[in-house]
Amino acid sequence: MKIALLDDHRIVVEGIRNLLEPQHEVVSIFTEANQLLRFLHSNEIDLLITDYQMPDTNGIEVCKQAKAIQPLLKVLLLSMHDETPIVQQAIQAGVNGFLIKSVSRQELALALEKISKGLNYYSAEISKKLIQEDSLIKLSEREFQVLQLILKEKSNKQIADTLFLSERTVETYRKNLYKKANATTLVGLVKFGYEHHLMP
Amino acid sequence: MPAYTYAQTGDIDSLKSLVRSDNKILQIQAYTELCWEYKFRNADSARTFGKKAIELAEQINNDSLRANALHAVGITYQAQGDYKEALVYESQTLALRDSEKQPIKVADSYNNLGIIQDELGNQAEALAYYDKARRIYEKQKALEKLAGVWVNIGIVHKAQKEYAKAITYYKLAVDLYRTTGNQFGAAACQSNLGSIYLYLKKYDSSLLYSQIAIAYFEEQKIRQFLPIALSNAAIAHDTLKNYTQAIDYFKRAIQIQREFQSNKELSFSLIHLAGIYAKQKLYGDAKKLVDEAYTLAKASGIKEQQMQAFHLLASIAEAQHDYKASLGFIKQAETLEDSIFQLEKTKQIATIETQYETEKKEQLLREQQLKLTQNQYLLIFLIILFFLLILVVFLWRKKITIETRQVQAEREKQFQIQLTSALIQSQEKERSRVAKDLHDGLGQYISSVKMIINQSEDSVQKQADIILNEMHQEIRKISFNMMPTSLQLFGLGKALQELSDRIKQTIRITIHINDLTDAKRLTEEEETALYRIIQEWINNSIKHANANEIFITLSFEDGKYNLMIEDNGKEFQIEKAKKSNGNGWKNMISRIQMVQGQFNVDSSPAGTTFTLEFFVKEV
Repeated sequence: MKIALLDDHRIVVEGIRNLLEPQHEVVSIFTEANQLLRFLHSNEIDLLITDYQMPDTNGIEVCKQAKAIQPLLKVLLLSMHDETPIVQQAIQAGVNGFLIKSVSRQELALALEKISKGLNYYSAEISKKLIQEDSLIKLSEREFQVLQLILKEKSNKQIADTLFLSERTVETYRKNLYKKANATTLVGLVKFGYEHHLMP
Repeated sequence: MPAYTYAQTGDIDSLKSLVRSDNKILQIQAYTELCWEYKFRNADSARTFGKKAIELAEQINNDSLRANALHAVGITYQAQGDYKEALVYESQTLALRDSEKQPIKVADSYNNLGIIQDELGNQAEALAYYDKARRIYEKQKALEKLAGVWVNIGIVHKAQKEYAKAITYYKLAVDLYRTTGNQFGAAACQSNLGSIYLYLKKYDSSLLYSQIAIAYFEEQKIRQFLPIALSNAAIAHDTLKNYTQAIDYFKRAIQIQREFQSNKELSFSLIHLAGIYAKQKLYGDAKKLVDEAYTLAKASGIKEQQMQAFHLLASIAEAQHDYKASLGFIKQAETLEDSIFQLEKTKQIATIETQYETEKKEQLLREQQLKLTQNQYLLIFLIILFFLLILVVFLWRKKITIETRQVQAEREKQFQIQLTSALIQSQEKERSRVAKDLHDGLGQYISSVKMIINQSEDSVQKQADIILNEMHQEIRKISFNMMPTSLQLFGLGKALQELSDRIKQTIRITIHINDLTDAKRLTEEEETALYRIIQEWINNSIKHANANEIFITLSFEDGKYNLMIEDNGKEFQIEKAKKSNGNGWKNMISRIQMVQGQFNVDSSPAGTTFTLEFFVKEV
């Protein structure tokens, strides 16, 4: 497997190379994305291991650009960042693997093995985060109470008095409920209530 | 003062001994008092004392004493009926008196000048002087003297046959005398009122006043004043046909008049009494009295009474059928009547003239008074206007000051907010920079060290690897806390998701993030501010309210961004939060101000709902 490395910190690139060699063939190392892209036009490689955060660009951009040049190229992101949104964005951009820079030699080897077999690999820490809660609409207890009173066609003032809230807060609840129900009318809200078994 | 004490006791000998005193002032006062004491008994010697006092006062240049002496000498002339001379002295007196220092004395002079002018027949001038005196007495509250002036004015009006006016002034005087407790003054006025009512043919009133006066004079044994009141009462009774009483009153009057030898009044009373006897057909008694009256009237040269006597004699003769005698008496009466008529006519013309003059003067006075009053009103009006103007200007200036202060306060507040905002922004930038440095600097080095160590399988190296791993994690955590990369890259919703994920790893809590804004991006400042506000609120909910479920809802509508955070923790004590020493609350408020937001906290033991609303700045 022919591998290219990209990281704006030479010392890191060298470190990765040391971890990979001699088991893997590192054909070239880069500290600037432009150099890499130019290289890709004339040299075919199997895997690009790239940093995420770089001075003028980021790993996801580089991934997109590189795959535009060589569609079969696999990309592994090696990042200091472990925030879920970044990982999600990377996955959407088509990266084949995502590792955090504190990766061990063993995990790196495992990742390369999986990727070479055409599978994706995300480090354990990140996989854990990717198991997202269902994005089902969830109502708070008070939101639920407000909804029930709206369905009973109570005014903001009446709801505010019943629940010991200010009218302004009730108005916010009302607006939020319509948005959550994706409704513009009370009928839409009733429909939402039935669908989610929220009817009083 | 001693001089007055002696004078009041009337001890003239003491005064005479004081005249030999070494003290010039005492001497002058004594001479003046002697002049005063002697003015009616012996006007000439009184004048000699007075002139001595004037001479001495001139020597020591004492105006006040000189004025008193001049006044006293003036009075001696008045006592003798020499009003022209009296006028000269009283005028000099007035010139010397200072209206500032001795207003009462000045008024006394005015009053006396009034009397003099009245006697000289200048009634208009007299009234003018009385008016001046009246004003001063009123101002000085010299009630007794004021009453005196009322009487004097009454006298003038009576002489002018303005009886209604005269009654008004006498009644004013009676009231004042009663107030000051001067019963004699009151009685004298009432006696006069008795006579004036006769002129008005109001006999009941006349009788009433006369009887009051009579009762007082009799009680106090002031006999010289009794005859007038008695005759007035007698005339009233006569007219009312109470002849018995009329006769009785006249008899009492005649008795006293005989005692005092006041012949003029005596002849008057005698004729009247004779008239009553004639009516009762007691012609003998009547004739006797008429004869006596005629003799007295002729001796005093009173033509009217002589004429009346003839008329009476004529009617008695006629009643007794002695027509010849009657005719003779009538002829004599007519002769007298002619001369009286001539006299009367001249006098009448003079009276009418003076009356006209008086009216004119009074009109002038009234006009002046009116003008004065008008001027006073104008002045008062102007003063009120002036103060109103000042008030308006004052209030206006105050309003401006308050407005300026408010503007200034608002400006200062805005400046403070801007300052805080700038501080917060630079702080956030700094955090962002540090976060990046940690990632891209320190983190990279740790990564590379780790990679190097990873190359061998040594146990020491393994331990180092573990520590480096921890370090790496720590750096990522610090970096995230400093500034989440996802906030800058993906916005509030994603960053909050990340935050909640991280909190959930350490604490048992459920945090629901509902981004209903379609991942709407705001300015970096707004997003950072909101993120920090939410961070602070979550902190509070967990730490102070012990909440274990938090709902965060972001929504956006019509340019308005709305944040709602609900928790199921304990009731939120807003006052406590405000007073807490930590900077959490203050920083949160600063950030709310930064986005120009309005927040609201609804709290109950079941939990708290925090809402924040603001209009977004378009990116």
